[in-house]
Amino acid sequence: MTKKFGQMNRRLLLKTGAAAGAAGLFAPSLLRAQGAYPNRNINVVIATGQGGGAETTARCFTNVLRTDLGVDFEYEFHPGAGGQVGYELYAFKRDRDGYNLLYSNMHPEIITYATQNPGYKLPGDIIHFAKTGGTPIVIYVGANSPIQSLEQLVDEAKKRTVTVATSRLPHPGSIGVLALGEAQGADFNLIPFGGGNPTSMAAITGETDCAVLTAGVAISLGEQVRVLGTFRDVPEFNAMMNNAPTVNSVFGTTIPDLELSQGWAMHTEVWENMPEVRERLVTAIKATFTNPELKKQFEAVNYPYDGIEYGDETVCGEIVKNTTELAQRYADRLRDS
Amino acid sequence: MEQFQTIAGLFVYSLQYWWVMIPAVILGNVVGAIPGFSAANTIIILLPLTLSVDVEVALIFMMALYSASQLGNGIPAILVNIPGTGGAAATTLDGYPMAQKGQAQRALVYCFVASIFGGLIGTMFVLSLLPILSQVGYYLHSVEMVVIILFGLTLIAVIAAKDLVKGLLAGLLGLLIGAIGTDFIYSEPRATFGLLELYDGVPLVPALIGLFAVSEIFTLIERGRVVKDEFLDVAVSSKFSDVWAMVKESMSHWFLMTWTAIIGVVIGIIPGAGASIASFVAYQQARTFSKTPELFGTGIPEGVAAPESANNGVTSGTLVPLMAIGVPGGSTAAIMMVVLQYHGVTLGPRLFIDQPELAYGIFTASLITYLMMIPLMFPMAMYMSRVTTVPAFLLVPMILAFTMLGAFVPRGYMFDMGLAVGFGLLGYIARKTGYHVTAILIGVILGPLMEQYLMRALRISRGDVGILFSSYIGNALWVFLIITLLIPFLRERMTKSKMEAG
Repeated sequence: MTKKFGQMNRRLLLKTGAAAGAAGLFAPSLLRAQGAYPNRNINVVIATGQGGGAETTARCFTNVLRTDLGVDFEYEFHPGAGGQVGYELYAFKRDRDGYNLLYSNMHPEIITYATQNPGYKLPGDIIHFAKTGGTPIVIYVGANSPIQSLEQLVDEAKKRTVTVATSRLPHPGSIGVLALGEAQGADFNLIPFGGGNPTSMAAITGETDCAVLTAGVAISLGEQVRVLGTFRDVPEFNAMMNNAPTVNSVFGTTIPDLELSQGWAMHTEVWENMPEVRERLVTAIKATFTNPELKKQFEAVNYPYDGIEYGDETVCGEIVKNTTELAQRYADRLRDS
Repeated sequence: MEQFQTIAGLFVYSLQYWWVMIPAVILGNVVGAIPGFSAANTIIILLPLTLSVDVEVALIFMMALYSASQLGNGIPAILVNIPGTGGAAATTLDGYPMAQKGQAQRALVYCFVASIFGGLIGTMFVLSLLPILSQVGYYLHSVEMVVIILFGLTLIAVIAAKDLVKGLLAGLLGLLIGAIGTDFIYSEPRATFGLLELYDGVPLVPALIGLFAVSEIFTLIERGRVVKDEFLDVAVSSKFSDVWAMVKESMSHWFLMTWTAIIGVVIGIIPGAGASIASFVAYQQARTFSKTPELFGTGIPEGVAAPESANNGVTSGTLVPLMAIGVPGGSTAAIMMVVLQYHGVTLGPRLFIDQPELAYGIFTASLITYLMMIPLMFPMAMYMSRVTTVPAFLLVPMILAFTMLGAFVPRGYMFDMGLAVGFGLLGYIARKTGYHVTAILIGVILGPLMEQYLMRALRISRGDVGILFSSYIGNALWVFLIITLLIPFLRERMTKSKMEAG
């Protein structure tokens, strides 16, 4: 018995030793695989080109997030078709493992989704879960433009066709200008320039009469442009734009508040089935908003920090719903414009 | 005078960063010479480095890398008929025939001289006329760009001159391929066959690699090596000591290199335009005003000097709107802007007042970079030229590996490698049946740009084609275009009359 017991003990010892050895060998990878998310770099997909507003703000956030999460962020850019390329690629060609995130220019990309009938579903395939901020949509002219005010711009558009540079037709700015034209009987002609830089350049050089884009872009151009009006009243932004009035306050219109929100999105499957990833990311992203380093990051790139605000998945869900409805309402007019 | 003193001071100041410039130049040459790699994606890869060093170091590193990569693009275009980017595609037209005739070393020397000379002229032109050049964007809008791109597109007609039907068909095929993707106005997919990878249009690098590199591989396998057998002796007899004579010879074309560099600067200033347009326009213009236009395409050094000088002129031009207005003129400038912003640099006209050492420093760094390329590049010409004598069984696997990698790198799609092979088959069939692959490529490169500017102009006028003749500068360009198209016919007529009279 004793012998048996002893034999068993040896066996047990051997087994335990083997098990302990194996555990020792594989423990780090087991730990990494099971609990310690994230344990490798996180890939960020952006559905616009390099050097744009999305990249600039995303990097501000990831520069802070990297210290909290302890991993780096890698970027890939897939512009095209108003965001469709980046979204479809993200939805169907990137692993649904929590190591792939989408940083989104929410409004224009949702408008594309609502007007183009692409292959992905929002929020069926991709869920926007953290709004990082919103910038009002503004109308601006080049510094040398003879147009000094919103009223003068609309008066001109009642006498002749006024050309408006826009990043692309599926954009909240395009909807805003169409709505203003309809409400005032003014003739605005939208010219898509395919990106913020050429759009601004068109207004600055006088190729078009004005441009419609985000306040962030207009403010970053400084004295090169003059902001005539805004589609959403945000006092902090207004102060940086010589207190440009809101379109609704000038004309008594009821155009919905228009802004361009940015935020983080992920695969819905990960959101629903990987709670540890969801919680870790949400906690870390939330924490960036109270980290003073974030403001420094924005100041370093001369981007306005005032529009930075956190919105959870409910806020994002409402943005998706409301923007989809707005886009569908203006889909025909965007097509006919 | 004060400005001159500032620039001279900055020139001396920038020299102390030689230790940054030399590795950047070497790296720039290497990435420029590998198809698919470029200054833009190299700067992205090295972002952690450029963001962690001082802004001066980052700026000088990026500028040196960018300038050197433009020069590097021409090397494979000459040696193996593979342009590193669209900007070097025009270099293949005469560079590769020179290599096949055993004159690879001469072609490379012309390429280096034109690149360095063009880069220096372009930079000095920008430095001396920056306030005026920053206004160019105010006068060259969509209408003017339509005419400028037409200068490049007329090269199809030039190529078609040898065989009108085949040349025009090849150009047309290129334009049709260039029309694949979502339309510019409504973002509606066209001829994409539901393939997501084609939504943003046919990617240039796989098309370039396929049409030139892969099809060249097939012909190389048949031929045995780049240099034709009858010229093998010429190729192997090239000596290091020949370089100086070649440099002197190439400098006799200083006037051609000067004005093609200025073409590059002006086109580079326009956001969205770039080296592809500039090099084709420069080649077309050089041919038009050449005393021997019929020799273009057969392997003459002017056909290398003009596009190389122009695409290096673009390097300085593309930085003008970035520094003067804060709007980047091209993709590399856009990435440089991101880096500068992260260093807290506010771009725009105030930069020249607030931080002149940066605003002018970027251009003085470019000047020094080009000067540094002289001792770094010329000794390499002879050794590089020997590539043309390497047997195909050694050369082909290397080209295939690098080019397939190059097709994959810009977007990271496996699809693009398949696309390169598809374009390779198309290029091979085109070569075998006498269709010019360059005519196809011109359509692929310039077609979408032409559509973009034309659609924008027509949208501004609500479809009235009269807008194309609505500006003084546009009309002057139209007249110049017509003159350049008429010159070959008039010249031919005069020669005929002289011969008849004789």
